[in-house]
Amino acid sequence: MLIEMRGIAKRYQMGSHVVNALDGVDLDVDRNEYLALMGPSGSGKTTFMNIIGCLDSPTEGRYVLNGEDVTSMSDDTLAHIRNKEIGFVFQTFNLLPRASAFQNVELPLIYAGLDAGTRRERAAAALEAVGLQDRAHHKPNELSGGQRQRVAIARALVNRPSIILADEPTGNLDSKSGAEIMKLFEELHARGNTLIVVTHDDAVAAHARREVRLRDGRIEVDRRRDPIPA
Amino acid sequence: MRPTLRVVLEGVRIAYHALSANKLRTFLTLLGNIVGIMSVIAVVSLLGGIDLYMRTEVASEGSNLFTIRRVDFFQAIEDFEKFVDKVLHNPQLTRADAVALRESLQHARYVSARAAQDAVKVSALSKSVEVEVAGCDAYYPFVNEIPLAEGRHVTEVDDRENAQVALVGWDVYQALLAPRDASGAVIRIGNRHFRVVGVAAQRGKVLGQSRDRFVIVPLGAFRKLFGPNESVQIQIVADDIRNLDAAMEEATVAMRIRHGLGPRAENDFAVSSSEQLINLWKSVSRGVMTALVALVSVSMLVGGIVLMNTMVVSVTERTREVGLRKAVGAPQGAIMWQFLVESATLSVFGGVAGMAIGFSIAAIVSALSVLPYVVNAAVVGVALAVTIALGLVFGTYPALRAARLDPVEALRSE
Repeated sequence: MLIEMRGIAKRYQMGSHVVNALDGVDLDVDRNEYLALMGPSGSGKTTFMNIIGCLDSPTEGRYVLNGEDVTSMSDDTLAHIRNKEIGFVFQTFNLLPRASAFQNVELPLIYAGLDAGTRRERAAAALEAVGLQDRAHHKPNELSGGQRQRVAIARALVNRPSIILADEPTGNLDSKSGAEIMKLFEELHARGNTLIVVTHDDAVAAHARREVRLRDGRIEVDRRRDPIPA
Repeated sequence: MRPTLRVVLEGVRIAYHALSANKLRTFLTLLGNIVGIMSVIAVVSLLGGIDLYMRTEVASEGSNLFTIRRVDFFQAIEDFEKFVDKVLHNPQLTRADAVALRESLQHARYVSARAAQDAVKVSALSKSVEVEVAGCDAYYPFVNEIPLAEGRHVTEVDDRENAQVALVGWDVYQALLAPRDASGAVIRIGNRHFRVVGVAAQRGKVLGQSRDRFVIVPLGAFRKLFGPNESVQIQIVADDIRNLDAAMEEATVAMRIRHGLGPRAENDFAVSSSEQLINLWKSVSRGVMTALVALVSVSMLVGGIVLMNTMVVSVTERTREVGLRKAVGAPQGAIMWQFLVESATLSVFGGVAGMAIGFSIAAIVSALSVLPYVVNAAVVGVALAVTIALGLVFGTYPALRAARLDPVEALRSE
């Protein structure tokens, strides 16, 4: 099992009362799953995603990621886990504006402490996997929205993470580019990657093989299904 | 994560982009650094130049030479009132003093009396030059090194007979007499004629000033030219460099006795060696340096605070970038070093600019005066070290702020 979560809760003190952003969530995710995490705003979806992505720690419960208990790790240890296990894809791409596509993709490898030769090899391979090998030296502002998101996906892939965690990956794209990204996700899934896509868009969620719906900090729906035919 | 070469280069690159992206802001940020380093470099270069000037000019007199003067001109720096008092009241030094010292001092090898007038018009035929005219007794060649190009020095016989003879410096010969034969030629000083008996070999320039623009005549003839009231100065060469202090002490005692001074009276003459002049200069330059360090510290402190402010703005502007870097696995140390390297780089840019301006100022001042300027490698090194340290110290707070950002919050920021 890749992800084992038991009784995950996240509570915030808001003035005099406590907000239960997450209120006792259990979730198991296997390797090579393609999971859509859905829910209306305020459902705890974003908090849950941050905890899955080791950006945030739960106030209660236990989270074992790839055999390691990450429930209450220090900031730097969590940074190391994120570097090794998680590939993030953001709605707004979050590329470094002054760095080339190649340098953006290379970034996680720098923090992994790899030597220049290995970094070059792996970053080039990741760019090729998203079909942007001929755009390696372009800056983000020289790329289209779809291309930028593909650079971001290459960055997510480059350190061979256990999970690719995408937050509204098509939210800032036109429908054609969005469709290309979803097709790319299909390919990544077919190659054995584990994908978790956070979205409120049913069309995006329809690509996933499993749907998890949150409401008021709890899992309301967790069902497996066949993907829509491409 | 230690600052690897890559982190450093990345920081330099980011700092360079920040520099070029907003030139005015960068300039204002670095103004403190620029002004501070500029002042240090300019002042230190010029002090170094004056130092060099002192050493070559003053120390060229020879290290076992000392001089007795009527007044100590450097006293004007320390106590001007006293200086004026001495100028008014100290007795004249005379040739008789020199003769007496020559006879009585144990540690003196040579004693020479000398008087001089600057900017005296010396002419021959239709040409004239303004040069220094010195009246010397026969011992001057032993005290000052003046090699001859032709002819002879002014001698004891000339001196005794108040002969109207002259030794001319190379430039004077060139200006008035060349290409004619010097010996036997006649030059005019004031309303008197002097027969040239010798030409000094060319001594060249020291720090832009010719050392060949002089005429030496016997002291008696000098007296007739300029009147009997001019005080002489007495130059004494100690028999050994190790006896310099003893010789100076001996000369002081002898002069006090000659002037009939009581045990508590102050010296009414001044004894100084070139070493003392250099020491006095050193204490003056130390004073200047101390004042400089104080002024520059203030300037650098202000510069550091402005730099810190700019770095805080820079961190705020790049909160999302920090969030992203953390998301893909940057530990706190890496973020910290990134910003520290950036602020140190910015600071060094300011320092380098300050150095460039400082050296330019020194070069311009040097070009407009006789003073050379000296590029002091140690000062360049210290200036670089100080700017790096400044960048690191004042960059620490912004860098810590960046390192401690919560990745979730940072990624959410606009």
